[in-house]
Amino acid sequence: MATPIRLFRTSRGDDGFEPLVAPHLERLYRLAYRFTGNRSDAEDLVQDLLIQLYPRRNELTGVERLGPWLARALYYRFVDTLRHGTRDPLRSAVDEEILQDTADPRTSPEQDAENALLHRRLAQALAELNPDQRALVALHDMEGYTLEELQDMLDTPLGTLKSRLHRARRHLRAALATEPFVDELRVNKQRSRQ
Amino acid sequence: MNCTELRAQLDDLVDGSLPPAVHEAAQRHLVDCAACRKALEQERVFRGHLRAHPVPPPSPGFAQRALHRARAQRSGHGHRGFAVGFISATAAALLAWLAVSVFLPGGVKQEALPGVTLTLHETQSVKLVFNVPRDLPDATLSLQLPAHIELAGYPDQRELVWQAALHTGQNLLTVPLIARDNSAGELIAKIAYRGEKKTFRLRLTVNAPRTSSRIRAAEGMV
Repeated sequence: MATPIRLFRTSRGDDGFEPLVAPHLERLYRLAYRFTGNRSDAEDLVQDLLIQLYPRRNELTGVERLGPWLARALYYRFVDTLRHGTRDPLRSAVDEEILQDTADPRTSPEQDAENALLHRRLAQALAELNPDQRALVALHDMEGYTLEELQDMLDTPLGTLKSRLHRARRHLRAALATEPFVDELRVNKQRSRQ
Repeated sequence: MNCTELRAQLDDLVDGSLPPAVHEAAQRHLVDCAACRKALEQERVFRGHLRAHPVPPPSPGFAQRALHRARAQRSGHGHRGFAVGFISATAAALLAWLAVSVFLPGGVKQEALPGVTLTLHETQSVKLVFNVPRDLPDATLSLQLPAHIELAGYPDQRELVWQAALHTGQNLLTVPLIARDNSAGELIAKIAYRGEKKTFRLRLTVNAPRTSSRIRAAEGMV
C-alpha cells in the first residue's frame, strides 16, 4: 500500500504566498539593509512588509514585474515607519559588529583596516542623509535600479531624482573627502610618508 | 566643453545618461584634460565604494521565520471572521474549511460541515483546510471515504491514517476524489493530538456529468 501522506499535497506554503515572495526575499533584505543601515531594523522592515502583504497575496499574483513592485512597497513601508516614528532613525547609524565581520581574507590587515574605516564613514554618512535621499542612493547607486525605473517606482520626476541624488552624493563625497579613493593617490600618500 | 561644464555633467556622465552629442563633447574634453580625467576616475571609484558597501547576511533562518510570522499573525487576527465565513467558501469551490476550533478549550468534539457536490465519474479536488491555533508537530490525521467515493488512483482504499505536522494557521490538504454512483455520503476526517480527538463530517453529494463547457468552467474554479 502506498504511504497515504504521499497522496496529499500538504503544506503551509499552499496558499501561494511563499512561492511568490520567497525568490525576492534576499534582495528585499539587501535593500532593507541599505535603507536602515543595520540588520535588526532591516529584518523588522521586511517582516513588516510581509505581514502587510500576506492578506493581499491574491493581488500579488497579478503583478507583472513583482521584484520592482516589492521594492517600491518596501520603500513606502520604510518611509511610513519613519514618519510614524515606529523606527528610530538614529539606530541606523553604524552596525559596528557587522562591519568588523566584513574583512576580506584576500586582503592584508592594513587594507582591511582601511576598508573598515571607509565603510564606517560611508555608513555614518548614509545615516545622515534624509530617508528619501538614502533610499534613492540605495536603489540607484548601490542596487543598480536605473533612473527610468525609479521614475516609475517612486512616482517622482526624473529631474527631482537627479537633484536629490546630486545632493546626496555631494554629502557622501564630503564625508569621505579624507579617504584615499584612488589607488594612485594611495600610492603617492604612502610614498610621501617614506 | 570646458572644465566647469564637464564637472556639472559628471553625475550624468558616470550614469551614462548624457545625450549622445553632450557625451561626445565630454569625451573630447577628457582627451585633453588630465584634471577632469582624474575627477571622473575619482567619481567612478566613489560609485564603486557605494556598490561594494557590505551587506551582512540576515540572521539564520530569517526567511522562513518571516514567512511563518506573516502567515501566523494574519491567521491569528482572522479567527472570528474565518469561522463565520467558511460555509460560503465550501459551496463555491469544493473547499472545506476544517478545524476552526480544533483543540481550543471548550471546542466541540464533532462538527458537521456544509458539504460539497461532486460530479459523477469526474476527478475533483476537495481542499481541506485545517486551521489550528498552534503548532501540532505529531498529529494523527485520518480520512474515511464512503463506499462509492474513490480516492483518485486508489480505488480500493477507503481509510487513510497518517502522522503529520500541522503548523499554526492554515494547513491545506488536497484530496482528489471520484464519485462512482449518485449516492450521497460522508467524508469523515479525524485529527488526534496527544489524547485529544476531533471529528469532522463533510457531506458529499453527487450530480450527473456536466457538458464540456461546464466542466471547463468548474476546472477553472477549483
